[in-house]
Amino acid sequence: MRFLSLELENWSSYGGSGNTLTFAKTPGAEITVITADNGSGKTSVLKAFSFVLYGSVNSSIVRSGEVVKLEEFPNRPALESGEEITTSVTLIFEYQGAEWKLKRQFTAKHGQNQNLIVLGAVQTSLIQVGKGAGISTEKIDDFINDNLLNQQVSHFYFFDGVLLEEIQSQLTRKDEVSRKLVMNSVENALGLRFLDHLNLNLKAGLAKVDGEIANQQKALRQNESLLKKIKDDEDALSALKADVERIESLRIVEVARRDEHDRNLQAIDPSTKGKALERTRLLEELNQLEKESTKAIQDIRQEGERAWLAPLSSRLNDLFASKESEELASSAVREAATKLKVKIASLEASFTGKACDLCGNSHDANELERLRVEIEKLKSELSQLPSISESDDKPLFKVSRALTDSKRVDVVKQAIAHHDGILLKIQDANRKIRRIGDELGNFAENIDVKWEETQRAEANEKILKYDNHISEANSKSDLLKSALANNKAKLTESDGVSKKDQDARNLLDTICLSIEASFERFRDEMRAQVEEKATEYLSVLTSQPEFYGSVEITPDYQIKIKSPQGRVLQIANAGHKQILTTAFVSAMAAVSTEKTPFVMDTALSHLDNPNSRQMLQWAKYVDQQVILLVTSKELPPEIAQEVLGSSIGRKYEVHRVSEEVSQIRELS
Amino acid sequence: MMRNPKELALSAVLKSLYYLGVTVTPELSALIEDLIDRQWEGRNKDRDSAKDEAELLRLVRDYVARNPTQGEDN
Repeated sequence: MRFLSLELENWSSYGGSGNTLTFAKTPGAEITVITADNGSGKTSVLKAFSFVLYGSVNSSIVRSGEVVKLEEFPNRPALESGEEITTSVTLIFEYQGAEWKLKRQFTAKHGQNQNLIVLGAVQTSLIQVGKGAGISTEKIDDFINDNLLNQQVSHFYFFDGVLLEEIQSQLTRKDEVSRKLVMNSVENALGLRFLDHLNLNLKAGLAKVDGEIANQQKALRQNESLLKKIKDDEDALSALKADVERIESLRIVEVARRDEHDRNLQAIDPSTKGKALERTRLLEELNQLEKESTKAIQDIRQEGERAWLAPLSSRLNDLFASKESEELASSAVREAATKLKVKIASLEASFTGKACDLCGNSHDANELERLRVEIEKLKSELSQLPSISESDDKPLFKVSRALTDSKRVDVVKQAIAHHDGILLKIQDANRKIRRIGDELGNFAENIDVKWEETQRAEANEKILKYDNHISEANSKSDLLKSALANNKAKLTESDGVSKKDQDARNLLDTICLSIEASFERFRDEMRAQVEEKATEYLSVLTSQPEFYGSVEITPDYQIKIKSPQGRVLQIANAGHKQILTTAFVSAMAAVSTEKTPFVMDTALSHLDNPNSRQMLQWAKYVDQQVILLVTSKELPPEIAQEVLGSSIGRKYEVHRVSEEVSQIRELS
Repeated sequence: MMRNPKELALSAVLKSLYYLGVTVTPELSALIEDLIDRQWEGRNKDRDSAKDEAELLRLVRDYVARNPTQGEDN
């Protein structure tokens, strides 16, 4: 960057417009000397650079960073009229082969109590001269800081004697905080921080790639999990399928069985089927009759014992009537009764031992009839016995009484008749069964309708059970198929971790490691270059180069001067300190790629004549535009001419016309 | 012979790569130079860092695409 011109309008003591400084830019004649007495407006020019570039005026960035209020800069005589005035600074510069015009302006007027007030915001414009293309207002500050000169390091290019002292003071402070500030400031000026930023940016890229790889790995894991689920579901589906096939085969067997019974049932003609059913019904009826028969036999037994004694009782009564000897009668009755009882017991035992052919009980009516006959025979025998007096209350009478209940006989008769009826029914049922059996023949023996129907029902039940099982299995299959489809749909296109991403990650990691490992080497080499250049400039700047061997810059940017013998020299002289600082600052400018003009205000004020001359030699020596703001005392015109000669491209003189009015005049 | 910060940084990083055992091919050297150039251009910027990151990452990805490492692609 080269400055071409600076125009001041109502800026400080420069009232009105037309206060223009055009700067030397021809290589080899890049020095512009602006001579002005103290208080004539030199520093106002320095501050104008700060204002136009950054929109504010720092009294000193290094010193305090305090911003000087804009109210200090509007030209006071111009405000006397009471009107609002416009204060502006316009810098035309050359950057990358093009001319740019940067202008900042603001409006001010007198407020109450003669205070100055600034109206509205500072207006800024930056356009490319001749092309009309400009930078949008909101991007101008970024453009200047990013491309021209960052404000943070501007104090290394725009400085006055005081600032140089501040820089020098900063460089020699030993406390840790100051050292860090200096390191930061210097390394920013040198541009060293860019490597840190490169590392940070690459690490951010590395984090991004790591994130992408992590996502890919996550997708891969999800896919693996899904694939396992899919396999499990497919296995379960296969198992269900096998189960269904097994059940279906069982079902086929049952269907065949059911069909066979169906066929059997259908094969029976209705009459045969009716007969078979009738036989079944008769068998059931027979069974019921036999149960009834058993009960009737029991009734007969209960009533029979008494009934059989009734005729004996009658005979005894007859005996009583004949008044035969009691003892004889009694003996005869006893004997007869004993016989009778023995006979009854015998008959009963015989009776009980005889089983019915049909129901298994003994209920033979013939046998009972025979018993009656036997009893009649006994009665006949008893009739031959002498009678027993009725009035005698003797055992015989008791026996007679016990045997008098003739009603029992009727009950037994009825029971026997009932049983006989049952027997008839049983015989009838047996007869019918035999008849149906004969009619049905062999077929009837093999076909049991009820059994067929039962078998058929059982087969049907199993078929239904199998159907339910199959249906349930099919439902489960459907669910599994649905889950399978869902899981397959969830499978992503993930092919695992991208090799390109992995390569990028590894490369970024390696580059970051190499950058971190190179920081110190890079800084050391840069510092060595600054040392080398500062040493070179120091030899130009000092009038006593024989005393100085080299400049040493420590890792925390403390500057030391060594004698040719390598001994560290103590520098107490303010002028020498300024020279050293100038050597350092200009060395930094030379080492960095910034080609920003130096604007130096009263830079020679602390120097003695020889060193002033050397400083001028330096201005010639550095390969950059230099704008020197000097008093005629610190740099008499004849000395300037003598030392700088043709290196001076432009010369100006600033006159203080009155207390607050300065005028610029270009010298030939 | 003065060398500017970019050249010095490039030299320092390439040396570090070498000491890390990395084979510095002309392509890799060109990539490092590109990265340094790109960052140098934005050295004064403390804004749009995301943009810078993206641009640097793009350079690396492009390089990787042009110079794949040996091994099976996943």
